[in-house]
This record gives sequence, structure tokens and C-alpha cells, in this order.
Amino acid sequence: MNLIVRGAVWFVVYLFLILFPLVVAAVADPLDVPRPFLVEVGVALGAVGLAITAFQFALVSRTRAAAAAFGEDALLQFHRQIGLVALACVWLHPLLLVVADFAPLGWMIAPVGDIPWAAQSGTLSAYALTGLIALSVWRRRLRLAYEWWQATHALLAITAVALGAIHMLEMGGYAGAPGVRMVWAAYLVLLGGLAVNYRLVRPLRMLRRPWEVARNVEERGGARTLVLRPVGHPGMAFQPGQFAWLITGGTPFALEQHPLSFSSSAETPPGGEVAFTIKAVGDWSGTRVPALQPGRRVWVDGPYGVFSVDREEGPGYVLIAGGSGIAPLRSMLLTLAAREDVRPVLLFYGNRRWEAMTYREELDALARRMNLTVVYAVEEPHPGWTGEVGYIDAAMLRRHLPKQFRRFRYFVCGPGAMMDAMEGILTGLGVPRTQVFTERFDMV
Amino acid sequence: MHHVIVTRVVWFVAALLGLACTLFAMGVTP
Repeated sequence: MNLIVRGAVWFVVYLFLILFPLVVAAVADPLDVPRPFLVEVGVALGAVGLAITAFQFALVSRTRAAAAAFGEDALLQFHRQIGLVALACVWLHPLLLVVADFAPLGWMIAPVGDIPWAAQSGTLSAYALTGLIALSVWRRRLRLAYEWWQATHALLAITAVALGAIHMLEMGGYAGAPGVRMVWAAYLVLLGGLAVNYRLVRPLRMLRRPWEVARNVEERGGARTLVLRPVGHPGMAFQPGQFAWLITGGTPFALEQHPLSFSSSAETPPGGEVAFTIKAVGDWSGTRVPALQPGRRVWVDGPYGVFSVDREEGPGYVLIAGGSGIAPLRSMLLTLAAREDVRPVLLFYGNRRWEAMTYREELDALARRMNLTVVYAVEEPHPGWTGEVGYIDAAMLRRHLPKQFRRFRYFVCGPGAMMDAMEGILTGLGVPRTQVFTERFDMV
Repeated sequence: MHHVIVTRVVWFVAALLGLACTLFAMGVTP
């Protein structure tokens, strides 16, 4: 099926799942005493907020059929942003009831003291959701390690949904109607199934396809290339630019997993090695990854993502990397070189210092093997540096882009702020938006 | 550019859900 049609179908399914409880409630309409309009809007918002929160897990449970239509990173972004919509619904819900004089303000503020459990559970659920979102949005500012964030995220999510469901059932109202209860029971089964698939079936599948560390090489700029070899299976076919989740915790059932772009060539024979590039930024990448010895067993869940030259054919490519964003672009370059692709490729590579340019020797070697031009840009140039200085901007791009640059495809990977800037700059230069692709991993 | 599209879709969904809640309330309020 066409990817657009498939995406549209999944989108309609999602909307249906969120709104169906409301439809059933409206049809059942079990309330004897009519309530004010504002109260009903508030109640509906609560139901919608709970439904979105419950299905947040479905969005990130790596269901291949859905991920294929949108790309895992687009799904992650939707998950993140729709979570904010859920938060708004969840807080507007009691707020409207308070405004309509239907519930006391105290219930909404402090879920303690002489308050019915039905209300307490709702407020606690809202606080759990608020905490979860605050930790996600401000994880770095709060200096919360990624692995700890993963654990709290799952725990708070389960708490928020469970308390929300208890609140709804305890409150009665529409949830008193057998139809509404049946819908939620079906949702519970559906989400339970997804959870079993995610926590049990998926790791079991991975268990049969173990990998081992072949080499763990220190690179420039505080990065490491982790080369993995499949053990007893043909390995993984991926498209250059895609990513996978790496599990190094000793078992595929480990909670901790890290999304990483493949940085090796996609043109490897069955049984071939794959590589990831990992920059030291936290406890895992800074301490535990360097300690991974050859022979160490690890697991790879992938490939995922739609950020790939293989999906976007064009007469030439412009790759723009910021810092460790070079990883997926290296994979693209190695793949194109392995295929002896003759199309022109321009790589703009920005980094703080020349010494921190990961893979620069390799990139220079590639430029001699294929139709590749590399433009390095350093923020802190050393004495005698004659290349580009500062952030990659419109003027710098214009100095190096060939005449037909508007027909090329653009792949940008780096810090979020850089990608935002680059999208604006490229469209400003007249590159059609549909030809610019970004990969965003620093969402949390 | 897909992240711009995703943001638009989220706004669209938010508006749609808001409308659905309003319609629901209109439907069940006499």
C-alpha cells in the first residue's frame, strides 16, 4: 500500500481510538440529571486527555506497521507534542468543573485530606502526568541521566494512566454505562497486548539474534565507533541514515536502551558487521560504552527511521552535520562510496574545534574515492586555519554549493537549534522544503 | 521537513479534539 494512504489510515485509526469513548458515552448518555454545558465540556476533555495518555505508549511501542508509514522519529515527535495536548486537556478538565462551580478548587490543587478517593486519584494522575512531562521537557536542565529518565518516564506513565482510569471508573458518570466500560476494557486488552509485545515478544526475538562487540575504537571529539558482529545470524539490512536501539545491559529484556544511528556502510554482505558512533555525553556513553570489550554480547533493535538517501533519489546530495550528527551521514557516504555512486555529494561539517572533527581523515580519504567535497567549519579556529569559521550559514552554503543546488536533496543532522536554523536558511536559498530532511534525536 | 508537518498535524488534532468535546457537550446538554 502507498505510504501516504497507509499513514492516513493509521491517523484515522488513532483519532477513532481517542474519540470513540466519547461517542459511546454520548449515545449511552446514562445520566438522569442534566449538567451544565461547561461541565460536559470539562468531562469530555478529561476523557480525551486520558485516552491520549493511554495511547501514548502505542505510539512508541515500535509497531513496525505504523512506524513504516511515518518513521519512528516522526512518531516520537508526535508522541511528545500530543503529550502536551493531553496535559492541557487533563488540567482543563478540573478547571472547567471548578469554574462551573461543580467541584471545589481544593480538589484540584491538593489531592490530600478529606477528599473522596475518586477525586484524589484524578488529581494524583494529573500530577503524575505533569511530572512526567516536566522531566521530559527539562531533563537536561534538571541534569537527569537518560537512563533514569527512561525509568521514571515508564513508571510515571503507568501511574498516570492507572490513576486516571481509577478516577474515571470511581467517579461513575458516563463511565457507569456498560458500553463505556466495555470500550475501556477493550483498550486495556489492546494496550496490554502491545506491552506484552514490547516487553516480551520483541526481546525474545532479539534473544535469538545476538550481536557481539567486534571493535570499540576511540575517535576524535570524544566519540567511539562501536563495531558489532552478528552471532549465528545474517545480521541486519538497513538503509544508510537509519537508526536502531542498542541494548548493552546483558539481556535484551534490559529496560535501558539507546537510539543510535548506524554509521557504517549499508552495503555489507549477510553476516557483515555494523557500526554505531557514540559520543560521550552521559554515564552510559561516557563510562559504560568505553568499557565494552570485544566479545561482549549486545542486542540491536532496528532498523528504524526514514532519514535515508535511499528513500530520496536526487541528482546530488548535500549533507550537513553538526558535531556528532556526522554518524548517519558517514553511513550515507560509505554506502555511496561502496556503490561507486557517481553523483555529486557535498558535506558541510561543523564542529567546535578542528581537533574534534570525528572521522576527518576518513572523510578526506573518501573525497579522493568518490565525487565528494567536504567543507569543514570550525567555531574555534586554531592559528593558521584557512577554512570556514563559525556556524554554517547562508553565505557559507552559497560559497560552496554548485549552480544546480536547488535540485539536490539535503540531509541535516546535528543539534536541534542547528537543524531549525538550517531549515530556514535552506528554504531562504530557494531549496524546496520537500527536499530537506532532518533527523532529530535530542528530543529528550 | 517532516517535523514541521508533524507540528501542524498536532495542532489540527488538538483543534479537532476541542471541537469534538464541544459537540459532545452540546449533544448531551438539553
